[in-house]
Order: sequence, then structure tokens, then C-alpha cells
Amino acid sequence: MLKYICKRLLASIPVLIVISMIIFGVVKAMPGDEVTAYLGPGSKATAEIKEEAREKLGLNKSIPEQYVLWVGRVVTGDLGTSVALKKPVGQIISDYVWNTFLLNAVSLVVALIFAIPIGIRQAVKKGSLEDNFWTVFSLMGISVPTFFFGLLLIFFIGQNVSWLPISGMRDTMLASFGYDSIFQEIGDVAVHMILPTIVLAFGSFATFSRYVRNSMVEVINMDYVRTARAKGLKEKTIIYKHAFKNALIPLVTLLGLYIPSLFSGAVILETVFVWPGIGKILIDAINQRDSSLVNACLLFSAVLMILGNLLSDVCYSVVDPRVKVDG
Amino acid sequence: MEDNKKKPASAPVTEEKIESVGPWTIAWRKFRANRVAMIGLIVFVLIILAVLFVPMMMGINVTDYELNNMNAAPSSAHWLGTDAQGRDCLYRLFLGGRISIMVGLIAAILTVVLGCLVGGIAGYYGGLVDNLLMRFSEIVYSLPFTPMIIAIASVMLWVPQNQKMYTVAFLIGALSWPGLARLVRGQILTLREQEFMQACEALGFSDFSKITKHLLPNVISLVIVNATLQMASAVLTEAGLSFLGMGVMAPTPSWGNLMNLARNGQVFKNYPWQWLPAGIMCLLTVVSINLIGEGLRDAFDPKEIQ
Amino acid sequence: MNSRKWMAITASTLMAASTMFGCSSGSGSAKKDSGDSSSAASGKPLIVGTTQELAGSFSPLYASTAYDQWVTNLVYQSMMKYNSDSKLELVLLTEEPKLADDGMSVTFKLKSGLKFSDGSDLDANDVKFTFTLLADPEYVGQLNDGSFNFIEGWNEYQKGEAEEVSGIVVEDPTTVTFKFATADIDAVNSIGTWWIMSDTQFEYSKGNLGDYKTKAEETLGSNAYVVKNYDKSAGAALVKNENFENKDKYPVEQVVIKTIAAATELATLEAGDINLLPGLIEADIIGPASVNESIGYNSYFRAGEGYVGFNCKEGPCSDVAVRKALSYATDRAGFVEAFYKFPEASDAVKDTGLGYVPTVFWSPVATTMGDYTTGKADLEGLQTYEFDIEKAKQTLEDAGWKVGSDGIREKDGQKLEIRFLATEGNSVLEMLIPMIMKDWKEIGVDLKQNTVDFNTMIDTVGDLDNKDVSGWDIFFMATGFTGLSSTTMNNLLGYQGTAEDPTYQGSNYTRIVDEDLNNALNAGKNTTDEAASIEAYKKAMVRESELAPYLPMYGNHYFDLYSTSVKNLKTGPVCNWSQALEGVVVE
Repeated sequence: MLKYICKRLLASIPVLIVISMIIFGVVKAMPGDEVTAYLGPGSKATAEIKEEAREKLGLNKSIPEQYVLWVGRVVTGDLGTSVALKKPVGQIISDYVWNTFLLNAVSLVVALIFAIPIGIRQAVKKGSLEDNFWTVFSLMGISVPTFFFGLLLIFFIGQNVSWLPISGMRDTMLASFGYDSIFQEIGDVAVHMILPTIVLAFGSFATFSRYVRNSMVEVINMDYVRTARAKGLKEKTIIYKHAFKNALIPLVTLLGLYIPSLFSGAVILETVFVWPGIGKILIDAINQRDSSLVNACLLFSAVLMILGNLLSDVCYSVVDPRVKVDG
Repeated sequence: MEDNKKKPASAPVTEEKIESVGPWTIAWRKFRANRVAMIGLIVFVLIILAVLFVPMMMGINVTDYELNNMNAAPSSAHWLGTDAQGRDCLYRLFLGGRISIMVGLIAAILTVVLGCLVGGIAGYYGGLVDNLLMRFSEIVYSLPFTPMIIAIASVMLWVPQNQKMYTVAFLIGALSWPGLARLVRGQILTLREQEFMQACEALGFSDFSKITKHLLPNVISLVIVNATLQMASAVLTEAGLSFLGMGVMAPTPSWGNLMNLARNGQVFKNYPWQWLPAGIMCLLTVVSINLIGEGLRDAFDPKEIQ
Repeated sequence: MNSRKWMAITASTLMAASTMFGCSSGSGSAKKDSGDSSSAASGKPLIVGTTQELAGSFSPLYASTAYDQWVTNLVYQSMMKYNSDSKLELVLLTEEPKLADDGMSVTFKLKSGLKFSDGSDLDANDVKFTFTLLADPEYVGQLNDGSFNFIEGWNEYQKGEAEEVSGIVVEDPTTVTFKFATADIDAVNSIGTWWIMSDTQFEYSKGNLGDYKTKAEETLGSNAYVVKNYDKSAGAALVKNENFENKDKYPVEQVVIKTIAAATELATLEAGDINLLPGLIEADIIGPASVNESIGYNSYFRAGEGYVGFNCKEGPCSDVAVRKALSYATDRAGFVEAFYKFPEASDAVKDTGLGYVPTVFWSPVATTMGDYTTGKADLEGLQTYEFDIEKAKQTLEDAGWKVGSDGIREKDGQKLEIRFLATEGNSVLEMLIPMIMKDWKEIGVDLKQNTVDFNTMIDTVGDLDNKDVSGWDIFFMATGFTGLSSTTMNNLLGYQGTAEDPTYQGSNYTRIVDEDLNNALNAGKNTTDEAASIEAYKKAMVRESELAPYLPMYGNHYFDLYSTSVKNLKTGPVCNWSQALEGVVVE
């Protein structure tokens, strides 16, 4: 197995290289002059100054040369400096990624708290009105544009409930002049999280409840469950002890696959709620033509994506030994 | 996805057996019996009819505006009020629906064509071709979808405003096909091992007839289900992109850029009729397409045959 | 795997989530020493709301957005500043700066005992140092626009081997003289209103800006406030500078710039979460606020205009008759009326109005000249292009543009097709384009719209080195004018070199080249005689109106809304709230 993982990791390297080329190319092709972005909006710099800046940024070299230089820097851990935020890109990402993780992780937990019991109930009462209701409900979860749901929450709840903040992560006054206690800080961040968490959790709830339902339905029809029934065990014991335990295996696999995505931001949602995470940083960076930051954000999510895929293949081969381990 | 992966083991055998009864009839019967899916279908047909005919019947033009009647609340003259240029919101809502659904449709078709082509060729020929194509699709598959599509969309800003919708559709299709390609390839790989294919081989059928007559019909159900779900997600992606101002652009309306109006604080708060209906329509459309997709999946699922 | 493992995963996720609260502060935030913030007893903080995030570059060298410059203004002082009546006041000086008799140098006399917020002295050397930084060859900030090129030795330092800017002479610790290479009407303003930086903040040697470049967030000034905390999403908080000499003049102890969500501006102000909402133009906020008894407002001309620029170099718009005809055929009064309509508002605010049609493209706050722009005074010979479709048709007819079979005019086989390079998400254009499309069609113009993003538009029209400008005919932009001088117009209308082979001034995006205009603009700038400067600029203004390279669409009034607990806030076109906190009290 270890050999398989190593092999897969090695095989990911060429993929990553091609992807880094694509990313670099896309960012290069973005409209807007990098020099203008570097000099700042509304710059009235003369042609000579622009030329100097161009030279300094290495923009006079050919694109392949620039790419090689960029890769060289990235490999040594230098992601460049953001022109908009005037800070090292690595530092920006490590600052913001935890905000994203916090939001995603809490949403996931909230989603699971609802999805597991509801999914089980659905499976037990398969075909009932209740089952249909939750099926349609969770279908709404994957069908609603996240940002629209967010806007709805802000429109109907956020605007009318004065203590419920609709944007940002912390209260400016508290964050600026210091929290009285750690509990106050937790409380402050927590209220800011309520609305975005509802939106994100709704989406994950949909995925997980459907998953739990389907795998429970399958398990319930298995022989050993019938045997347990035949033995005269209590229905509750059958469902939760025997059936659910087995249905859990694929669920845990799915959860494992979720881990990398916890770090990649819900781009549009973070923008709607002005949540200071990776997704919002990416959008800001794209709008400001902050190329080194865009590069880094895209590369970061690509690495997460590849890790996720790798993890999924590995998990799959663990769960289902029939899958040939040859990539 | 998990459903699809399980299918290869039993699907072809069963379907071959019931060929004489007509698999399409059976699927349709099953679909019709699925009440939730039927509701989805009816809603979707209604939406399609509405976006096609309502703008036509209203007898106004996309460039019409009334500057003295801006941001008017819904009334008998304008059922959904007017926007900041005094344009009728109902008209723009349905016209926007046309664009959004069109984008979804084109993207889905593109995904299907690319997915079947790549997956089919890879699965059928195997060997080096398979290896190369699968490597390629792995690369596309590994691109982080949302960030990437936003980045590329921001590159495509130079595209003239009236061709924007095709760009968006093309982008979504170009990034979405690898999933389907993998499925099709897997399906074809299993099919190739089946007896009827070996019979074809023995009878000396041409590649073309083998692919079109024997392989494709066996993956078609998979493809149809996938295309439906793909269309739903393409409509969502378009909405997201246009919401960020990187998709379809005004004056051409789409549900996404109508919702984009909500990013203006005043419109958001004071003139909800300009953005809220678009979101609801979008939700309804995607839900109905998804319902149809799930209905189709169940209808084609051989395990559910009584 | 079994359920125990699953529990473990869930638990670790939860734990990770809870520890995250402790360390997830955004960028550069939260030093939680509450030691010096306990002064809240002596007054409430001034909380300023903005829907735009601060970019976090507060150093005078790099502060590029108006919002970041608020912080710069609060932290840094300049030798002089404008008050709310647009009069220049002394800040760090003991007397009015003295211009030499020949007008070729100016001497500033600093107060003694001035201190930066870290306790170090502010003297003439810091003044020299500040301007030396701006002249550094490595400095490429947005303010490197040649506005200080008139200083002697500037170019030698920036482009040559010179060790220092020779034209800045420190006579003694409180006296500094600037010598000029060329006369400049604006010299005292430009030098006097620039933020003074400390020469001990970071290491500096010529050609090596070092930390100045990478630590644009860090500030060290001499004004009444210092930055206590900055967080990109939450905003900035400033507290009193302990080393500030006249602390009593600034009763407000804490200033907070808070990022608020769009659409909630008025609600947050009414709820008291913020007490100042500066620089608004939105009718939907100003209108309701004006009828709310607990909200006061200041209003003043915004130093800016929204305009349509014509491509004067190539295409149909290079014909002045076409530019004039299009100007006549644009119902600007109708546009402004529709665009700046109040839903509900007090009569006083309605009288002030939000927008107006400028008579000519010129800074509406420019000394003397601004009154001609806003229509407060009349200038003989000025062409103002009131909406008149017939006149537009006639103008085209006279210039030889004849109506073709399809209703579109043509001349010498060239169709009168106008390509509008529009930007996406611009509410002005969303209203303007359908409007002019209709009216311009009537005079036989075929308007084609090409929507791009803002950066692309700027790169297309703003790349003045690019000889090929055939891709567009008109564009729309809103611009801000700096200061009270008309010299800002030189940048928008002028060129260097000969008319045959011109080098356009930095913002001359229309590429208008006219010798008379250029001479008048230069005569206005390169003098030290104010009356002569005004006369020259009047000539330039009239000439510009004849050439019509720009069509000014609208000007506006800015409104600062504040809760009535904020007293004595007086703001003006060149004196925003961050420059006007002296004497302001929050009750």
C-alpha cells in the first residue's frame, strides 16, 4: 500500500507541473498590465518609470523564462510579494487559510450533526412522505446557488436581527481595542459565523444525508441485518448497532476526502459574507491583478485538489480490495 | 457517482435480456411512476415554455427603457417592477432565463461530446492512446474547478459582450468533461470483456459499427443521466460567474447577472424585485433538472426492475 | 475502520475548530495590550463607516486609495493644509512660506520642538529626507507622476549620479529652502501639503528603499493619532499620539475606520454603530438621512467629474465636428436628473442636489476656474453644448457627413460608426448607453458597445506609448482632480514636444493635440504670477470647449453624514474628515 501511495505521489508530480504551467499561463493572460498593478491604481508614472518597473519585475524576459524563474522561486518556498497587500504571499495565505478552515470545519460538523440522524431515518422509512420530504429538501441544498441563499439570509434575517452581523469575522471595535476575555472573542467570531455556516452546512448536509441514506438502504437489505432481525433483536439495536456501523465505513471515507477541501475557500460565499478567507483573497487578487497572489492561491487549491484525488483513490482501494492497485 | 460505478457489473447483462421488451419503454414507465421526478419534469417544461414565450408575448424590446420610471415597485403595468434603467423586470427575468438555460444546455452538450469522445476512444483502443488521454483528463480533472473557472473567466473579459454567453458555456464544458470521460471509459472497458463484444469481434464487425451499434447504446443511459446533472450544475456555475461580474454581461440579462444587482447595496435592500425572482427561478430550474436527473437514474437502474 | 475511529476524526475536527478561535486573526492584527486604550472615559470614539476595505498601505509613499489616505492623514502632518473653506493654513510652520523675488525658490520656516510619535525630532532634515525618498530612483509609487520635477536637482538625483537633491537646502534645523528648475504656479501647494516622514524610521540609502517598500503598513508620523490596530476585513483603529504637542485640540481619543456591509450604511449610522459616513453620493442613503433629525450632514463639491473622452487621434471622433455633434446630442441634463433622483429628501438637500452638469471639462474646485465649471460664473466664449438634436444634425451636415441609405451618416465612404469602450458593472454606463444609443441613432450615428473590465479599458486607452489607437472611439471614466490648482488639467489636455510628434501628458487619454491649447496650459502652469496664470487658464478653458475632446457628463456633491453627537465637523472639497478633526467632539 505504501508503495502504491508513493507511486501515486510520484505520478502526481508531472500532473502538478503541467497544472502549474496552465496556472501561470492563465495568470499571465489576464488583462491588465502587471506594471500598472505594481505601481498602484491611478498611477501617473512616466514611461521611463514603467519601463524600470517592468525590468525589475522581470517582465521583459520571455514567458517560458519567467515561468522557470517563478517555479524556481516557488520550489524554494518564495511565493513572491503581493503588490496589493505589500506582504509576502506565503504569509498572506497562512494568515487567511485558517479562517477558511474554521468556517468549513464548523460547517461540516454542523452538517453531520443533522445529516446522520436524518439520513438514517430516511433509510428506515424509505419511500415514506418523510423520506421524500428530506430528499427534496437535500436536493434544494445542492441546487441553490450558495450566494443566493446567503443573500436571502442577509435579506430576511441579517437585516432584521440587529445583533446578527452579516459580514466580516470580528467586530471592529472589539478586535481593535482588545477582547476582555477569550470567551468574548470566541463569542464574537461565533456570531459572525452563524449566517455563512448555515449556508455552507446546508450544502454539505445535502451531500451527506443523501450519502448516509443510500448506504443505509443498502446495508439494511444485507443478509446479516435480516439475520439480526430474525434473531429478534430490537429494531433500534439493529439499525444503530449493526447497520449504521457498517454504513459508516464509506461515510468515513467520504469525510477523509473532505479534509483537503476544508482548506480551500468557498470562493463566492466568502465574497458575499466578506469572510477573510482564501476564497475572498483570490477574488480580490484577481480583481486587483495581483498576479503572484493569484498564482499562489490557484496553485494552493490545485495541490489540495490533487491530494484529494489521491486520497480518494487510496481510500477506495482500501474499502474495496477488488480495485486493482495499479493506478 | 457511486451508483454509476456499481453499474458495470450487472447493467449490460440485464439490459440485453430485456431488449425485446424495449428498455426505453420500461425506463419511461418507471420514470412516469416516479411522482417526484414527474413534478420536476412538469416544472421544467413550464419554465422552458415561459422563457421562450413570455418575452415574445410582452412585445417589448431589450433596449427599451423609461428613465422617468426607474426602480418602480411591482404594479399592474410592470408585474415585477422596473430596474435602475426603467426596464421591465419580468421581461428581463424570462429573457435572462433563456440565456441561463441556454448556457447550461450548451455546456452539458459540450461535456457529453468531449466526455464520450475521450472516454470512448480511451476505453475502446486502450494502450498508449488510453494512457495519453487519461493523463490529459487527469490534468483537467485536477484543476480546482471554481477558482480556475473564475481565473479563466477574468482572462476572457475581452470577449465582446454579446458573445459572452458562449464563452461561459464553453468554459464550463471544457472543464467539466473528465468526470464523464472516466465513467464512459470504465463502462467501455467492462463492456469490451463481455461475450457479445467477443462475438462481434469474431463476426468481424467494423470498429464503427461496434462502437455505434453495440457500445454506445450500453453507455447511453449513463450519459443521459450525467448530462442532465451536468446541465444543472452548469446553470449554477453560470449564475456564480455572472454574479461575480465575470460571466454574461449586461445589457444581456442572465439569472446570474440579475442576481449581481444585489451587490449594489441600495438595490439589495430597497428593490428586491430586481434580483430575488432571478434567484428563485434559478433555484426552481436547477431543482427540477436535478429531479429529472435522479428520476432518470432510477429509471435506468437495472437493479430496480421488478 | 469502525465507529471509534470516526469519533476520533469528528473530535479532532471539533478541537481544531475550537483552537482556531485563538489564532485565526486576519492579517497583522490584535496586539491585545489594553494599556493605552483605557482613555475611553474622556469621550466616545469617532467611528467612521466605509464599504470599501482598507488596502493597508498607509505609508505616504504608497497610500493609493482615498480610504488608506484617511489613515495617512490622521497619522502624518504636512507643513500646510487646506481647511474646509479651501484656504491654505500653516501646520508645522511659524510663518507663511516666502517666495524669492524672482519666484525661483521658496523658504519654509518650521516650528521648533516638533516631534514624531516615537518621540524623535521633526526638523528640516526630515523635510528634505521626505522629498529625497520621492525622488529615489527605486521609488515607483503612484505619486511619482512628475509633480515635483520642477525642483532643482530632482532629475539629476532620480536619473543621474547625484548624491542628493541639490535644490532642497537645509539652512538650519528649522529652515528649508526649495529651489526651482522651472517656475511652477503650484510649487508652494505641492510641497507644502505633502506628508512629512521621519528619516529614522527605516534605513535608507540612495537606490535602496528596503523596508519602506515592504512595510507600507507601518507608519511613523507627527499628527495627533497613531495606528493601534489594522485588520483587512475589520478596518483600522487609531489612538491618540502621546507625543503630540496640542493634544487638547483633538478631543476625540480614538478613531475607528470600520468596514461595513453595503446596504447597511444608513442602518448602522442610525443604530449608532458608526457615527460618521463620509463621501456619499447615493440618493437612497442621503435622501432618507436628510429627513432624520438625529443625522446631520455636510455637503461640498466633489473634486472630480465623470466624463466621456473622445479619441481625437483616429477614427470619426478625430473630426472636431463629430465630437461637437455628439456633445449636442447627449441629453446630460436629463441623465443627471434621472441618475441623481431622490426618493424622499428634505427640501434643503433637494436644493443642493446630488449631481449637476458641468459646463466644461475642468476641475470644479479649481481656484477661480471652478466657478466657470459649476456655472456659478460665466466665461465669455465658453461653449457649453446644451442638448439640441437639430444643432447636432446641422453640425454633421455642415462637416460633410451625409445620411446614407441605412440612416447612418457617412463621409468619404466612411460610416459614422462609434465604438464605445465601456466598462462592466458601471451603473452610470448602464443608464447612459441605452440613452445615447437612441439619441445618437437619430442624428445618424451607429453606436457599438464593447464592454471590458476596468483594467483592460485603462490599459487600452491609457497606454500612451502605443501608437495604434484604432480600436476605440470613445470611453467613459470618472476622474478626481487633486488640489485646488488648474495645473491638474495640463496632465489631461497637454503634450510635450511638437504637435507633429507629441509626447502626451500622463492622463491625456483623448490624445488631444492643439498648439493654442497647449501654450495656454503651459503659460498657466509655468509662472509664479497668479493673475497671469488665471488669464492663461481662461484662454485654455475656452479653447478646450471649442475642441471638445472631453464631454463632462456629471459632477456631484459629496455628502458627509454624521450622527448629531458629532460636533464641529467641517469638511470641504480638499479637506475631508480625516483632515478636519481638530476641535471635533463626539458626545
